[in-house]
Amino acid sequence: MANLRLDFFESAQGETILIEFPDGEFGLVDAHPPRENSRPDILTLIAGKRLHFVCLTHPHADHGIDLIPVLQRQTDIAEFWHTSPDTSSFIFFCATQRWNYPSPVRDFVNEFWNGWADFLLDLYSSVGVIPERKFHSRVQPTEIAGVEIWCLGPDEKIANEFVKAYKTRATGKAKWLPDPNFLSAIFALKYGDTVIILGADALKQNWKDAIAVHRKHGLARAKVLKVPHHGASNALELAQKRDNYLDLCVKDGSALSVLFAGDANPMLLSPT
Amino acid sequence: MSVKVLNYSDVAESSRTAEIFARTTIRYGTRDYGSSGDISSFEIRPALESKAPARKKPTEKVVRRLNGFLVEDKGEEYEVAFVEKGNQLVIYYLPARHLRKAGITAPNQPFQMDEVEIELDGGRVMTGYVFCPLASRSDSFIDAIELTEDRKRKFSAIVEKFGKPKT
Repeated sequence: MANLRLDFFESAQGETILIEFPDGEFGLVDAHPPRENSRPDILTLIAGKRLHFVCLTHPHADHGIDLIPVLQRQTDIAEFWHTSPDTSSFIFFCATQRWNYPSPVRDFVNEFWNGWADFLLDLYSSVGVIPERKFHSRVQPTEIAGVEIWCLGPDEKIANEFVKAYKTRATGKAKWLPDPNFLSAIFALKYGDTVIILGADALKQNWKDAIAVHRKHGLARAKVLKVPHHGASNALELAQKRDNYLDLCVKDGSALSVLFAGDANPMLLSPT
Repeated sequence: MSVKVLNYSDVAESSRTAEIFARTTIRYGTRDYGSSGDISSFEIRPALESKAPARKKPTEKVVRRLNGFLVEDKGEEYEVAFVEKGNQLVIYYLPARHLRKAGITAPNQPFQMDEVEIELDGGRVMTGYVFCPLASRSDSFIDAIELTEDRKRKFSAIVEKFGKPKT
């Protein structure tokens, strides 16, 4: 049996995961430049590699800045994976409307979020002719070179909440867009008996839904978990008798966790 | 059944020296239901050791004042952006509880942070942070941002690829 290999690269405050499938081809899940030269630049890293997919798990720059040059290259990428509901509406509202307050920092708020809007515009306008594939938990699993890829989240209702917010804003009324972290794609990669879970920046509510999907499909517990949201406490439900992402991991002490902590204060990380 | 509570009465006595202050005698009746109760009394007076030097009141000095806004609530911590050196935005991660307590709870909500030095007894100095919202949640509004030509071009490419906005 050929190997399934996952490389988790130091990515400063962001994340970069390169998957090598048993057929020798690759998948890129998020990408952000490293703090120092801990890895080659992204184009060198993927040079000569054929990519089954390039995936933006959710529309935040710390997960996607380095996907832009990859997508701009256009060649050797079979699909672009993402989760943004009604993509054009999402980007339109993010780029043209800003929730703000009368204050001395009003212009700085706009400037800050313009940076995020530019990221979205640059990335999504670079997809070009690459076929897109949108994920949510009701999408059927995909198989690549013997590896089953199950999408455990986000639930479709999350997408509906975004669309509801767009509709309200389109009528001229103020309405918050939900936190984009809720759009995080949660993938379970099953190869043989081994399950690996990639949790993006999924939040508590996402995990409640994901656990239900995981149980419904009778998937085995994960041996490797990419800890969600850089270990932040709003991703881990610690209240008693509540489900959390640790319930998806093997309980015999052999589970491995991978954490992209960036500059996070270790005192504030959840006790994964 | 009878309940009898006597009023207290003050008995001031002169002291031997100016350092000994007037005594207060409180007389009271015991709450002994069904009887008139015994009369008891006790005295209250200030401690004789009253010559302790007055404590120096801690002094506060604002050493740095920053304006910023909440970027993202990450549970136990907030990601915030501060305006530094006039026009630079710098990202910090702060324990969320202090800001929540001050009423800073909404994304983009502006606030002021004072870094305060407090001088204590013995010349010791403690550093603290005071947070104050610069606007409340109810002050929020939607700022309309004009797309630049470059952004318009990119947005057109997105519409071509992903379809027109459905809303």
